[in-house]
Amino acid sequence: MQSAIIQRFTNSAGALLIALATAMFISSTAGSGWVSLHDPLLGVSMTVLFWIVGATELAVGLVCLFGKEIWLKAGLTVWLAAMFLVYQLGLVLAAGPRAFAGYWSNLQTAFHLSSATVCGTLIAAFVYLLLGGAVSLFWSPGNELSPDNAGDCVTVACPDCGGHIASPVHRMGQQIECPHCGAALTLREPG
Amino acid sequence: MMNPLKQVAANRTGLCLAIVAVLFVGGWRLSIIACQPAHWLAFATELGSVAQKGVTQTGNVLPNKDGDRLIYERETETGLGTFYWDAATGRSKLLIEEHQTDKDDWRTRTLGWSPDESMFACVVPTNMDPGMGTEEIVLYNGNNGDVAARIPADGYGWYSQFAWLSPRSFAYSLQNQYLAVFEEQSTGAWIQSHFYEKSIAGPKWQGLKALTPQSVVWQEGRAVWTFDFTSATSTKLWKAETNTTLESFSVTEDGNLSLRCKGKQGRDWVLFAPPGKSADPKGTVLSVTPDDKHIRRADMHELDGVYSFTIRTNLDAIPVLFSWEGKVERWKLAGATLFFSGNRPNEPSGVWLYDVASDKASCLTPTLKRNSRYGTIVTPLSATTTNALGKRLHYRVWEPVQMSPGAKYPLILGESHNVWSSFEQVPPNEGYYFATVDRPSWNEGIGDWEGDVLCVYEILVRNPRIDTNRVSLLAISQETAYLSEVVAERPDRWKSLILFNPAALPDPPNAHVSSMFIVDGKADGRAIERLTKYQDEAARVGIPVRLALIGNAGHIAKSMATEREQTRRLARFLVEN
Repeated sequence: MQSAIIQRFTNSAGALLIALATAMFISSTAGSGWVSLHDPLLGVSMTVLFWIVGATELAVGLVCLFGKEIWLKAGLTVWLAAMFLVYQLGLVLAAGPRAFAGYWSNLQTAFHLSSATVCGTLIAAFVYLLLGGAVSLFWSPGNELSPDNAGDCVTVACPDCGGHIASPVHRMGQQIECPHCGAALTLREPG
Repeated sequence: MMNPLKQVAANRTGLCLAIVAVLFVGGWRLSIIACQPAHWLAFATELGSVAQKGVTQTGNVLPNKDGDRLIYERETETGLGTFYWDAATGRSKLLIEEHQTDKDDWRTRTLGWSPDESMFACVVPTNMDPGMGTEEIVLYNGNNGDVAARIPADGYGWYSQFAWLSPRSFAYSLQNQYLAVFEEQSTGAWIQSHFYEKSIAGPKWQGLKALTPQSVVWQEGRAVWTFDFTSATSTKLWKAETNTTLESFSVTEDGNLSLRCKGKQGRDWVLFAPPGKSADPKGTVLSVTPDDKHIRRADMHELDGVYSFTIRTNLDAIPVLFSWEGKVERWKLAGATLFFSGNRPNEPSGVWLYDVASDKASCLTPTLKRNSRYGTIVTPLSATTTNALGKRLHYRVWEPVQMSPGAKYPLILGESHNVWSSFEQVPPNEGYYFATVDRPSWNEGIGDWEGDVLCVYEILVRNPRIDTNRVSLLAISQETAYLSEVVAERPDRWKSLILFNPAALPDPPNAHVSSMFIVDGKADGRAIERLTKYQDEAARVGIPVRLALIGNAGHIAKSMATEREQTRRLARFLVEN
């Protein structure tokens, strides 16, 4: 049960981050040709920043969707969300409460959204990622984030495709999706 | 260890989610692009590629005496072109093309036809690329526009004056003190034959003209001076009385001076016979009249945007009246033809000729077709109103090309001086109302910008089709100072601001707008530093500034390429907002 919820969260986080990354890339491209602002905190041009943020979101999103280790997926999600929220706070402190609308306007322009909608959506998305990631880290079955437990594995074969699946002993009896073919199967010790 | 690609392929759920995420965001963006007007960029490009008058120095027309050949200046793709036109072929030939630079003045100038019209002269920079260089005087064959001779003209500057002395000699002034005379030798080479110095440098020399093949005259303040090459002496020929200014003068066909003076009583024309033409060795005033009857000429008057010419093609004939609705920049009478640069209402400028005999005006230069390939050329609605101070205001309104019943449309409001601009067609083609208040010229009435624009604003917002929550202001150059005052006084009325080559910038904390558009030349003073700093200041208070800095351009757009880039940028800003 826990595992399924966490899996759903990491999947949703991955999809969300890939959507955000796509939005960042599109916004960056749509804003080309204009003189780019420089981020008041990092000093890089907003176009470059959009590409960096987009690339990071894409990388973390792919890990969330296709990675194996829950602790890695959740950890990266928490890290990215925390970074964004800290950046937001820093932007407000350094440049003022309305600075986001001014500096991140490429997103508004590219998707015809108001600055309030863009700001609100991003903050909501990253708060969701932060909380969801944190819960996943500490709520994962058997505390899978502990590498100490990673050693006691057994190998089972998928009844549908025959692919081999290595799984910790304590997960025996749980239902999972085969990483090779996606078929649902219940983990059972061989023999 | 599993292959990462196989791992991705194996997780079908993750793959589907990733694809859905990309499709969702990409589809959103595509739906926005799909809602944009079709061909908006192509239309802006088409409009921006029309030659238009962008600088006061352009638009010169210099016909020969009979009016069958003409030298004129016109904007080109890269800068300013000097063209030769002849009536026999009806075709124009590009002689010189001075590229736009970061300087706001032109160095190419047409100087004049030789007395027998076998040649005409232009001063041309030796290096057409940006940067300083020397000038040369280029003599062109008056019958076909081919280069006949090139003569280095060291020190030839903006204040230098040029005059043909004979078909084979000319003189020019330098630094208001020196005169250089050039003559064509029997070998065909042109050499400097004389160089004279006036002992005391006086005020600025104006209107250098040949009085005889051996003497020139010019204006210095209220006086007319002459220099005789045979005696190498300069003398004051005539001087206006105290409290009278000498506006200009000309040499009549019979060698007298016709001097246009303005005193307390009004304007007078003084006909003066110089020594040699007069029994008096100091010269004689032949007549003082309130009208200049001694020169074939065309006088122009403008009232409410209608230009009226009084044309005297023959000294004994009754003057002909010719009215022109639109704009006139420069004009010159030649024979029975009036040449002028200007435009009809709501059309780009061109070079026109008015044939007095047939009473017909025709355009010598290609202009914008009424049917665009990519958009709709909108004819504005014209209206007149009177403001609280009793001033009559003429304004024009372009309506959106496509309007749906019950829908409201945003408005862009500015001021113009009745000169066609490519960008005025862009807003109506992108679903905006566009309105401008007309003032007589660039300088005249610019101080009333605030009052004029607000007066028309109050009228237009009564239109139920205009969305009063989406009204934007547009200003160019010095107008931005007045726009800034309007924004400071009424900060909550405006949705966005559109600034071309701004001389002043509204205070960001007081500008409660949702977006701003600024376009300027990179070389307009410290534009890069000033405008990027402003962009940052505006961003800090939540105002996104779409800033475009155009390379190799200064404060004034001086080429079709720059005009086009400005138009395209505005089109993009409007379509994005």
